[in-house]
Amino acid sequence: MTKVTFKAFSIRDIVFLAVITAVTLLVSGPFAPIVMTATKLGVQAAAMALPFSLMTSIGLRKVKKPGSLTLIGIFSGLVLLLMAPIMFFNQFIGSFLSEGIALLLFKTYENRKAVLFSSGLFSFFTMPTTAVMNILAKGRSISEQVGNPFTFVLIVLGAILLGFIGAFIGNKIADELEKAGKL
Amino acid sequence: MYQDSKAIHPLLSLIFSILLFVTGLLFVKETWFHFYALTFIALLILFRFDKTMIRLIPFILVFGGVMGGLTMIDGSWQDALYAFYRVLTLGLAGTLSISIKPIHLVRSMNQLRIPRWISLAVLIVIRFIEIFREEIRCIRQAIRLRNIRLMETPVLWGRAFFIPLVIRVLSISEGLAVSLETRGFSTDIEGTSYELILFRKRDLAFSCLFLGSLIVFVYLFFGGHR
Repeated sequence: MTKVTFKAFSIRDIVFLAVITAVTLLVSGPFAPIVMTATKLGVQAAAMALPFSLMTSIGLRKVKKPGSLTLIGIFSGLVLLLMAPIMFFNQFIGSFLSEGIALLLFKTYENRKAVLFSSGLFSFFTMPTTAVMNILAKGRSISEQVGNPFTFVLIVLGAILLGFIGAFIGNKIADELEKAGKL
Repeated sequence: MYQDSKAIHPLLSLIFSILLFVTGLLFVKETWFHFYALTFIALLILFRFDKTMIRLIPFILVFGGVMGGLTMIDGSWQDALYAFYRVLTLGLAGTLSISIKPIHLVRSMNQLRIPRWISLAVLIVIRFIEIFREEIRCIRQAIRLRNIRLMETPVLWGRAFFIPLVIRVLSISEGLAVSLETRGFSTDIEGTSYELILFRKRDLAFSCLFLGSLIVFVYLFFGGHR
């Protein structure tokens, strides 16, 4: 059984991941004000799922080293820390969990399924942190955040589905670029 | 040396911004919350953050109004007020954090020996958001010129938008990486800083007043004065 092999990141990898983070934040920017005021758990994750998974999957296809998604999470979290401190933990823990589980299952990003899984579930894994932060900081119980269970399940499924659609599109774009010799 | 007279040390600004945000959210339902808010507004004005605060007022009013309005759909006036207070807290914390100049934050991170790849990446993300906003504007203009519409041909629109964008990401990051490598920048070499970010008397005074005020409110909160 192959093991997860960690490799050092070169300056090229860091620069590319930082630039892809900037673009990810920019592409997801228009969705943020629409869902900022939402009080139900999962709405933000569902809205961010598509742009985040699309851009991060391209990033993971270029830098196929374990830890790449966590780095994207750290970079975006550090920038968002200046605007909303909670977002750092959201991004960092979400990316770490998503990448950790993907690598446990598929071991390497050479396997496309790992890229699809890791970036596709990034937004979904931000939900636990959001829930905990809402309890600690805003004093809102889980039942208050969830509301109607049926609607909540739909939102969660929506976040997962949109995440996978975004990751699939990102992989398609990466395939085209690879064929053209650009990636 | 660091000569920006109005700014507080970047790391202090960041830490105090987080403290203000977390405690603000914790204290929002207390009867004395308005004293808490007024204390820190006065402190920020005293340390000449007034211009930044004025810039944030429209955001607080609009966003706070929307939050309050939405809360009122299934809540009371009191809940709507709490929602507004939460936005006010975000605004107060934001006053400190948006006053930080990215380059000063990066330099102070370097002085603290935080790995250079982290500070470099933060700087790239902050700097390139603006650059890629312009790139996206150009790509959208090109799409419009070719008469491609998102609603009519979404797949074509997606290709016309994302492929040029990713090509630009690749070429810009490649160019940047080459320019960093030719200047001898590496993730494992310790570098020097162009400017020293030092703690000043102003930072000490702000820290004492900020922490002193915060301790009083933390005491009120845990002492059960609700």
